[in-house]
Parts: sequence; C-alpha cells; structure tokens
Amino acid sequence: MSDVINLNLQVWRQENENSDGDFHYYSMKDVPVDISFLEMLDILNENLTKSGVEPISFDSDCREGICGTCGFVINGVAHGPMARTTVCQLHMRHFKDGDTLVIEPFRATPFKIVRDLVVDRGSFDKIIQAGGYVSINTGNGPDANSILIGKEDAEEAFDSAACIGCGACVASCPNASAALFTSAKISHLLQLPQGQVEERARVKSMVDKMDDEGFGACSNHGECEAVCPKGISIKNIANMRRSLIKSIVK
Amino acid sequence: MANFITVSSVLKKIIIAITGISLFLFLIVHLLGNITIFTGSPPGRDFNAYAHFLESFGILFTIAELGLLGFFGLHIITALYTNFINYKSRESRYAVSNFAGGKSKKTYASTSMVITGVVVMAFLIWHVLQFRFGPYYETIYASVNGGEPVRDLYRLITEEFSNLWVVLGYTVSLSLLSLHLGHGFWSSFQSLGIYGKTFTRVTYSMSYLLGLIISLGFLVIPLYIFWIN
Repeated sequence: MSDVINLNLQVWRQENENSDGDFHYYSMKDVPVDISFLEMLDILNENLTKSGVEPISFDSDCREGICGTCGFVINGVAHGPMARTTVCQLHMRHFKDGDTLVIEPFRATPFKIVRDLVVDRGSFDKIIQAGGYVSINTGNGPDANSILIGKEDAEEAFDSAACIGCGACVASCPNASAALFTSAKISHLLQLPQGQVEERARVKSMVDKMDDEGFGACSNHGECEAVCPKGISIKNIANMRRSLIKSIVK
Repeated sequence: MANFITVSSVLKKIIIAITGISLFLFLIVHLLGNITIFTGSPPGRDFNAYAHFLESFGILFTIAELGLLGFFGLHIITALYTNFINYKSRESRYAVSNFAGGKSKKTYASTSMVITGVVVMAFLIWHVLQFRFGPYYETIYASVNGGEPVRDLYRLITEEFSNLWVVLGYTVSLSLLSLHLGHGFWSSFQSLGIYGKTFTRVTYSMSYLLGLIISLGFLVIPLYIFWIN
C-alpha cells in the first residue's frame, strides 16, 4: 500500500440557503493516507485559495470526534464508511487510490444549508429547549451522591447522554427523522431520578417540537444507529415511545 | 383522540403498528383457513363448509368484515399521510444514497414499504372483488348446511386460478407482501416501544422469514390449483 493516494472529489457547493447548489469536481493528487478527511479538505482549500477560488465551507471544531460540529455525507453514508466515526476522525487510509467520493451536506428540510457543506442544526437546539433539561437546581457535586443510582441505570443513562448532536441520524434517515436524537435526550433524563419528575410533560413537548420543526417520522430503518459516531441505540427510540404511551394512558 | 392530523408522528406510528400487527394476525387466521382447500372429499367440500360456517355468523360476520376494513383503512391512511410528511421533510434529495451496513436495518424492503403497501392494497381490492363479490355459484353437500345449497367458492377459485395471468398477478403481489411483512413484523414491536436486546434480535431475524413463509403459504394455493388443472 502506497503512502499517498489520488482521489476524485465531487463536492456540493451552494452559495447560501436560497441559491441552487450543484456539484463541483476536484481531483486530488498525492493525498497522504495518514491525514484525516477534514485535513484532506484543508489541503484542497489551500490549493483553491491559491488559485483564487472560494474555498469549500465545512464545519469543524474539536477534530477529535467528541464535539459533534463536523459532519457531511460521503458516498451516501453520513460521516463516511467507518462505523462510530465522525468525519474528523475518518482517515484517508480507509479509501483506495482512484476512488471517486461524492460529498454532500446533511440534507433535511429543517437543516437549512448555510453554505456548501455547512448546515444550520438550530432545530436540534429548539427540541432541547422544549424540555431536554431538568427544571430544578439539582445542587453541587456532593449532592450528586445524595440519591444513589444503580450502576446499570447510570451506564444506560450515560450511553444515551453520549449523543453529541451532530445530526448524522437525521441525515442518514430515509425520512429525515430526528427520533434518535430526541429519544436519546429523553431517554437520558428518563433513566435518572432527577429527570423522572418531569417525564410526561417532557416527552410530549419534545416530540411535538420535533414534529413542528419539520422532521419526518421514524420507520425503524435503524440507519441512524449504524452511522451514529457514538453508537446510540434505537433502544432509546423504543424508550421514547413507551414514555409517550405512558404520558397518554396515565 | 385529538384531531388525526395533529396527532404526533410517534402516535401515528403506534397506530400503524397496532393495526399492522392485527392485520398480520388476520393473515395467519386466513392462512390456516386456507388449509381446508386441500382436505375433504369431494375436493372443496371442507373449504365451502368453512366459508359457510363463517357466513353463518350473520351480523357478527358482517361486523368482523367491517372491522377488518376499518383496520385496513386506518393502517393505509395513517401510513400514506406519514409518508407524505416524510417526503416533505427532505425537500432536496441526495444525489447518492447508500446503506451504512453494520447495525443498520435499512433494506430495500424497509425503504419501499409505501410501494409494496400500495401494490398489496390494489391486490386486496382485486382479491375481494374476485372472490367475495365474484360470481355466486351454488352446490349441495349432504353433510353441510343440512343438505341445503351453499356457496361454491371452490369452483370460483378453480376457475380463477386456471388463468395464468391471475396466478402471475398473485405471485407478484404476494412476493411484495412478503417484503412488506418482512420489515413490518419486527418494526411494529419497535414502534410500540417493545425493545429488548434478545427480543429485538430474535424478532428481526424472524421477520423476513415469517413474511416469506406466509406469502409462500398463500401462494401454494394458486400454484396448486393451476398445477392440477
């Protein structure tokens, strides 16, 4: 295996929310296999800048796979071909020499395209604002130990809380549903005593907000779990549904 | 219940799941009833007797039929409406769409539920017009209905399934039904919030097999009748 590869990139470029986008084609020569996907785009952008072309806009922040800022779709899969990996942690060694990569932004009606590969995921914030929090002051550090929580519950709650809100679940869902994101937040609070107090009001309010924002309904394709960088399980979606049934029945 | 349109997406899927799993159970009962086609002498005696037995419930039978129609209606309308919302939730489509693999349960069957569903719906209308509201033949068995005439549905199915085009139509429709049930079976539990590590693994791995078994079970009849004729 050589240490450098050549790639053909097909990148979605769009001026702003209201303009029509289209694909632009770039060929990349001698890409080191040890750099990340975003670093590869950085190199491309440097070359574009030197030749007087507007560089490609994309989001990134921590570049260590924990912040949830980066993300786009590579060859029809959100965050690219590696499981449990964000694009910033996706390395070029996973691609072959001569590959053609189609790069598109996360597409969903509630995710407006800001520019090129940058989308506005503000609708996720609105879902959180609809109830993804605990209204009371739960105290300081030592107070966390005043209510004992079983190891299993703590682990489960943490697994749900691992969601970084990148939006890959919506991007990969054939229905552009935000069920995995919303349910992870609901499920996280549902499994802890501090969150259980407001359970019924929360689930109703957050589900309604998710619908209002224009996300689709979950059809259990499970594609979200497969692309999720944190491997959030669709078990959370089942939890959300049970919780919603409970809020109606009781 | 609140206004249907304003019911949340999660509740709509719960409606689709409850009606779906009920219709699934109906299919199993229907399939078990079909076994009578292969028993009895002369051929068709048991089948006609079974049909007569069901009809003899009178008003209860009509209520059951209307209930079934209601379940189908609710399942179809809710699903079509949800599909419309889902379509609107991604106005700009992807140029390339793919399967992530791994833990994903996205299949050609899961992404074409609305297509397989609409074909199965058209098939059902045809199927009901063909038999329930088809030509009324009568026959007499000494041991059935006290020797009074009963509807000869067996004659009708032998006539219909002697036609190659009818058999082909059933083959295509039932194949699509198997895909629809394949995603629908496990998915309805998930929609109802019933998830367990083992439970979901088992229902998911059974799902496509069950769909296939049920469809093949139904398909045996037109193929068998076509074969013996």
